[in-house]
Amino acid sequence: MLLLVLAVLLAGVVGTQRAAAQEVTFQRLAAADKEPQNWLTYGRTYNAWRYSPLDQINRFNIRKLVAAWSFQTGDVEGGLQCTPLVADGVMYISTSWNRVYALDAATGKKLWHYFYEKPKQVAAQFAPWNRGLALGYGLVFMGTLDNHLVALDAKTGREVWNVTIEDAGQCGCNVTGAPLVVKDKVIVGVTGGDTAHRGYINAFDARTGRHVWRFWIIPGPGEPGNETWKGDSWKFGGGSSWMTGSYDPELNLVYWGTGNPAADFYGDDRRGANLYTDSTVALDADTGKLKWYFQQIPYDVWDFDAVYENVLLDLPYKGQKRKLLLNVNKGGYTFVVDRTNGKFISGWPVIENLNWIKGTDEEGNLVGRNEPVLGKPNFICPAVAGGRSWNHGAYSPKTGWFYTTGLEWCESLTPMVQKPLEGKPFMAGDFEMKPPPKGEPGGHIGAYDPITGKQHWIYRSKYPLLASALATGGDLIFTGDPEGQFFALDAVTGRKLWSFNTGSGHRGSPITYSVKGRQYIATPSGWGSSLAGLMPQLWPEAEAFQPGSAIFVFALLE
Amino acid sequence: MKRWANPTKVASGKCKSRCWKLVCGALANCLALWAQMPSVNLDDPAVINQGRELFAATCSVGYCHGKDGRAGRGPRLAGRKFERDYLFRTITNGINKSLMPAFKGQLSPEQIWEAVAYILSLSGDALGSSTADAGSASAAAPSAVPAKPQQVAPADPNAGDPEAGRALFFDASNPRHCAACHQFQGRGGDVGPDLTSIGARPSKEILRDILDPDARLAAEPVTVVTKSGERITGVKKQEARDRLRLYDTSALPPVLRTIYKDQIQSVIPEKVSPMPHDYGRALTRKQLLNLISFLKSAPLSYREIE
Repeated sequence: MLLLVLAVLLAGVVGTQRAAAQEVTFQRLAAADKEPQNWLTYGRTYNAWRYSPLDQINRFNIRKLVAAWSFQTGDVEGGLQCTPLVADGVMYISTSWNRVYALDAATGKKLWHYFYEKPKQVAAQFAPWNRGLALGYGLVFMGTLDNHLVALDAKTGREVWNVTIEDAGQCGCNVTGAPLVVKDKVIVGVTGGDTAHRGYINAFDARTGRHVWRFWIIPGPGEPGNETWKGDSWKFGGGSSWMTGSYDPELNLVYWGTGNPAADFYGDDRRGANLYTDSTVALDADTGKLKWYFQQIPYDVWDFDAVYENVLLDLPYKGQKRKLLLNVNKGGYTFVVDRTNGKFISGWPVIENLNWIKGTDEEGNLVGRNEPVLGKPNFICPAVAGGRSWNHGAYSPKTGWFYTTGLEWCESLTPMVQKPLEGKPFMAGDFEMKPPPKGEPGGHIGAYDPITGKQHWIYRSKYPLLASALATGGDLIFTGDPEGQFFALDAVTGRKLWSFNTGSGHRGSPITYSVKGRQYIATPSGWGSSLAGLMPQLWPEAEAFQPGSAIFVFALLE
Repeated sequence: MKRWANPTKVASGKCKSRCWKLVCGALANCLALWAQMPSVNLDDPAVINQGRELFAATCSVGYCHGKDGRAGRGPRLAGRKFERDYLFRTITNGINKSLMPAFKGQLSPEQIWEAVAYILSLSGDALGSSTADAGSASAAAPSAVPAKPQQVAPADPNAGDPEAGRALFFDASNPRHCAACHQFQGRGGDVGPDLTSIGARPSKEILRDILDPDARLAAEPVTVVTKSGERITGVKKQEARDRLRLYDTSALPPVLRTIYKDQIQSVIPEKVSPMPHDYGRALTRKQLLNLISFLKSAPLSYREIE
C-alpha cells in the first residue's frame, strides 16, 4: 500500500512538471469537432459519430502506417475495452479492474497511474471491464466495478472525490460505461438489466460529486408508465443504462439508451410494455426530466437491449432537413427517430439471420414477434449475445454512410419461471449458442445508408467482430478482430487496405488524434468479456485466443 | 446460520487440558470431515437433475459458466475433472479476489451438493463418487435443509415489523436510507457508526438518536475550508500526513472527498450532526417503530419506544 502511495505521489510529481494543458471545459466539449487533434469525449463529439476529420493518414498512403509505440497495462484479466481519450497531447485510458493511466500521447511514456482498490463486493455478472472515461474541469471521471463514480485530478491522478451510486452487493449492478460530462454535471449509467434491480441514470456535480438528479428507467407507483408493469414487477424489472449517452447542445437534451426488462426471457410476471426499458429516453440535461421516449421493444422477452450509442444526424428526409437519432439494438435492428420528438422515421436490420421479429410497421411497431415458449428450446436469431455487440458504429459525413458491425449467430433459448431475489441474477432462462441457418456463423462490418439501411459494401470476418469502428477524414474505417488483427478498410469500397497483428483480440474502441502535426491511430488490444467467453460454444479454438491488455499506436513512417 | 459454524472451532473451544485437546482435536477433525460429506447421493439421477435446474438458474446465467457448463465469461466446466470437495468449497466460499461469488447463505449445503453432483456429471465420469460412499454419508449427515430465519408474524397489528424495518433501512430508492451511511451486518456505508449491535441499547435511546442526532454525536463533524474558498462539511474518514479524506454529507449519497493539506485553509469542528434532522417528519410513527424493531430484532410495541 505504502509503495502504491509513493508511486502515486511520484507519478504526481512527474505529472505536474508537464506544461499545464488547457482545462477541458463544457464549451470545448460542445465544440469538440473544432479540435481535430483531440478526442475529448467518448464518441469524440457529443453526436457519437466516432469520426475524426484528420486525413494525414489516408487510403493512398496507409501502406506506410507503422507502429509508433505501445503501452502494456500489465493486467490482462478481463482484457481491454476502453475508448482512449486524448486532450492536448495526453492520452487517458481505463482498464478492467478500474486502473487509469495518463500517457504522453506522442511517446507512450506513463505520466501517472491510478489503481482503484479491489472492492470486497462487485456485481460479478458485469465486472471487471471498463469502457472509458470522461474529462472535464481538470478532472478525469470513471465509473467503477462496484458502482462508484470517482473523479481524479487530470494532472496527477490523485482521487478528488468518490461517491457510491448504490451498494453493488445489494443492486447487483455497477458501472462499465464511460460517464458523459454535460455542462457542470457528470451523467452516468449502470448495468443490472439481468439482475433483480430497478435501473436508473444519475447526474452528479462534476466539481463536488454531489448528487443532482436521478432518472428512474422504471417509473414508480403513481408515475406515468408504472401501469405498464404487472403488480410489483417494477421493483425488480431491470432496465439498465450501461452505455454512454449523446447530447444535443441546441435542444439541451441528453439521449440515453436503456436495457432489457428483467426477468429477461420469461415475462408473464411483468406483462405489459415495461416502460422505459429498451428505449431511447430524451432527458433535460439540467433536471433529468423526461422530454420524450421511443420504446423499440415493448415487452422484451429476448434480452435485446436498446442501450448502445445514439448517433445524432442532421439529414434531409422527404425533402426536409431533419434532426435525427440512429440507434442499433442488441437484436440487430436499427431505429431512426426524430430527435426533437421521438417520432419514428425508419427501421432496418444490420444482420441477415434475424427471426425474433419480421420487421417494423410504418409507426415503428414490431411486426411478427417470435416470442420464446416457456420450458421449451426455442431457436432464436440473433443469439442473446447480440446481432451487434455494444461496440460502436461510426458515421462519416464525407461518405454520408453509417459503418457498423453485425453478428451472425443464433441460439437455443429455454425460458423458465424464476422469482426475483434482490440484486441476484434474474434472467429466467438458459441459452446455448447455435450456428445460423443462413451462411456460416461469424461477423461483418458494412457501410449503410443511415435512413434506408441500404448496404453499400460488406466486409466479412470468420469470427464475430466485437470492436468499435473508427471513421476518418482519410476515408478509412478501422476496427479489429478476435484474433488480434487490427485493420483498415476503404470507407468507399470496403476493400481491406492494411492490417497489423497486435497479438490479442480486439474488444475496445480505436481512436485517432494528432500531436505536433503528426496523426496517430490508437487501439486497445486485449481479448476478454462475456462474449469472448461464449464464443467457444461455436468455435472451440476460441478458448485458446490469447489474452492481453495493451494500447497500440500507429503513425506514418517518417 | 448454525449450520455454518466451524466444527473445529466449536469443538476446540471446549477443550481445556492437553489430553482433552487431543481427543477434542480428533473429534473436531471428524466433525470437519463430516461437514464436508455430501448430504445427498451424488450419483442419484434425481439429485443430478436438481443440480441441473439449479445450475441453469444460478451458474449458467449472466453469461457466466454457460449452458451445461460449456463456458461463458466464467471458465468452462464441462469435460473437465474436478474434486468434489474442491467444487463444494469453491461454490460455498467463492474465490477470493475473483468474480466467483460465495453462495453460502444463498444456497443450502444440500443445494450446493446438488450443483456439485451436476457439475461432476458434466465431466463424463463422476469423479467424486469413487472417493467416498456418498450414500452412507447422506444417511449420516444431518438434514441439510437450512433453518430458515423464523419469520415472527406480529400478533399485534400495532407491533413493529422488523422485516418492514429492514426494507426501510436498505431502501436504495430513497437517497436518505439508513444504509447510505450506516452498516448493518456488513452491508451499508461507513460514514456513520456501524449499527449491527445498536440493538443492545434501550429502544427509547435509539429513537432519540434517530430524531435528534445532535443529542449524542457519534461521528466527528467538521467543515474544511480550502484555499480556493470551498467549504466542505462532513465526517472525517481518514487522515494521512499529507491529506484528509472526509465524507461530504451536504448531499446524499455522501461523497468521499480527498483534500491535500497544502490546499486546506482551516478545519473547523462542528457541533451539528451530519445526519438528516428531519426523520421525525419524513418517517411515520409506524415506520420508526418498524425500524427500531429491526435494529432490536424484535416486534416492539409503541409503549416500548415512546
